[in-house]
Amino acid sequence: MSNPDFELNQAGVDEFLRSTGLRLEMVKVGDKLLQRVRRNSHGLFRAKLGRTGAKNETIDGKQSVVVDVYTDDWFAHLYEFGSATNKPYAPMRRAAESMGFKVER
Amino acid sequence: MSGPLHVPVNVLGLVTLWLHEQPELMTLLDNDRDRVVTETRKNQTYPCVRLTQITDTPAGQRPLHLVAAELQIDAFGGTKAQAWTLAGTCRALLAERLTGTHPQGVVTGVDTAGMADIPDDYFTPAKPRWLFTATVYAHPAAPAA
Repeated sequence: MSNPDFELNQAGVDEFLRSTGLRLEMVKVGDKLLQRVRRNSHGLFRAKLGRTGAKNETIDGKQSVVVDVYTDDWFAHLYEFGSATNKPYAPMRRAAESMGFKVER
Repeated sequence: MSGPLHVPVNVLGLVTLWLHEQPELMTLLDNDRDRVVTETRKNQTYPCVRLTQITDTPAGQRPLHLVAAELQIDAFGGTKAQAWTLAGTCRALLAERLTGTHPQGVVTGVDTAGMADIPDDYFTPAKPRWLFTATVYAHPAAPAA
């Protein structure tokens, strides 16, 4: 039996992506990620961590809902990737992967 | 309930020992095994390669058989060109040759990511460094019961 053809209702998907409920859920995911980054960083950049609100963005031509978790710590790259004298603590990568995200570089 | 204990593979150890045996890499490092390390020493000789295991995610629970280990591979110069050549060589070796059976376990697959130019500015001037990450899928040699 061959697979039936179907057409994705892109308008429906776009409406879902613009919905308040999905944006709220994404904010919750961002908060959870932020919490795990804080826990993993052992106070290294505790005071300079944050997240943005949920926003709609087009990524690779597809509509998406995005929440950015960020740090503006000057030494963040050293905590994340280490140095010759300090191993990488990787607080952000560990947090993202512990939540099942595939980190793309 | 007791039964056979399934201890996953020490992927960091497996990959480090395996890199010590790769002639293309060791030639770049004057055949000095102390330059492919998991911990840099106080009197570390450069250029060198350092491996760190970031995470070790089990592919399933009970038995803990297959794991996906995320490694960060830092290649320190020397010059920026030396660091790049070291990182590029390590990545090619992992991507093309690591999959297979080893004394410590079986590597079933490797995903390598892009290389990043992140100089170590803990030093003045910053020490050249190229790094990349690789996900290594491995399980013990004997299949889980």
